[in-house]
Amino acid sequence: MCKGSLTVRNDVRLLRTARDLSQGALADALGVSRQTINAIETGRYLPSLPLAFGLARFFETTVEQIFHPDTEEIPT
Amino acid sequence: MKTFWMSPAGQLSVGLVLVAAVFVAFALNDDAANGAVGAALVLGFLLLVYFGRRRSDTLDIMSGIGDERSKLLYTRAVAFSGTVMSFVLPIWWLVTIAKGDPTRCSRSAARSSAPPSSSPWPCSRGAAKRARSRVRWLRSGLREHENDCHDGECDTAGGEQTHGAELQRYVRASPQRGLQLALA
Repeated sequence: MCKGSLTVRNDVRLLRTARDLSQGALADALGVSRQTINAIETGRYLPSLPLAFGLARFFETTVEQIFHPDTEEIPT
Repeated sequence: MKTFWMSPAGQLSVGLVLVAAVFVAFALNDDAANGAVGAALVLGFLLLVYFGRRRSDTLDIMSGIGDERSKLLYTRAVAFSGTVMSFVLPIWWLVTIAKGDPTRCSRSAARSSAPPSSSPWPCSRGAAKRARSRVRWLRSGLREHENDCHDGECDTAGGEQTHGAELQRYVRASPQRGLQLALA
């Protein structure tokens, strides 16, 4: 058993730049603000499940392939 | 589902109703000039949020409408404000009790040094003293006004009439103060 702090990384910036999209264009496609896309990419905001599924649907992939749980295990 | 009331236009409509309510509340108290100033302040804040939300993330969050992140931050801000107010209001109440609220000192309480038994709000010695001196001043003004009556005719155009008007203002001060506190 271990105590861990779960952080979630994502590949939204990678996927967006691969498609040559701006943050504003992605935000308009998903119905959110540009600041929200920026906050997701920099890890300052974890999107809700509907928005996460919307991102996955937009990039034609799965949620698990965009968001990666990263557990830092602290031995007890 | 996004309703009209949760849209910028709906928020603007509710805000304009609030602006009108501010002006009407002051106008009912024969203070339309201050009502116009208050309504202009509310209108200015309303327009700042309405037009500034597209440019400023802070104003967008202040508006309370937007995407999920804006709503989350707005909810956090409201919760923080509520927490702050839950500390400020009891402290303000205790300080007011300790100092005594002169607007709660009725004229009957001002006549006697004992606090009014019907009112739960204590009347401090300083506040009661101030109220007593004010009642004495108003009474002296009324006596001067009574002295203007000669042979059954009263001089209503005399300068002492302002004391009578001041008495009416004094009597009306308590509900007026209540309205001001409610609006604040």
